Amino acid sequence: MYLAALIACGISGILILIRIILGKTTFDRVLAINTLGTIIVIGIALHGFYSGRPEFLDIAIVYALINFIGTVAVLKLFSAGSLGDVKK
Amino acid sequence: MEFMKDIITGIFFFIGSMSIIIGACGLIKLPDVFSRIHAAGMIDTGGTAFFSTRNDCSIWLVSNYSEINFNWYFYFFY
Repeated sequence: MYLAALIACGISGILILIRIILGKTTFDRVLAINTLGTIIVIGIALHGFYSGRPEFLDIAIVYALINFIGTVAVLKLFSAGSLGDVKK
Repeated sequence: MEFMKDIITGIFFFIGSMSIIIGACGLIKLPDVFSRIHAAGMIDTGGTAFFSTRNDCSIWLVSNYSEINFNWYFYFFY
């Protein structure tokens, strides 16, 4: 049962990778990378419960936080041209 | 009680897996950026909600209350 769910995560990860490769605009690629991060979070949590160690949920939460911050950073870089307030 | 746990686990895993795969197919096949945002939102809500709700229900059914807070954090994070 866990294995079937992990296989479903792998199949949808491959489909999202196809969208990342074929993506027309930048927003498509950012959206697909964010969704791939969500799939990886689900995979980490499932692997933790599959191997009987639910401590992997902490790693999944940290990965979700890094995923969100990374998406916001990439969108800010695409919108403003720089990440900080460095003005000369 | 273990049998009920297995049945509920299977139902939630099936709904979550179908939601993830349908969302990924929509992410490929839909024509526009805003339509693909709809598919990505389906993966974000359906997948994570059903997979983590499954963990809550199964731990609640075997009445092991020591780890239930651990999973509610993960559920409310989304």
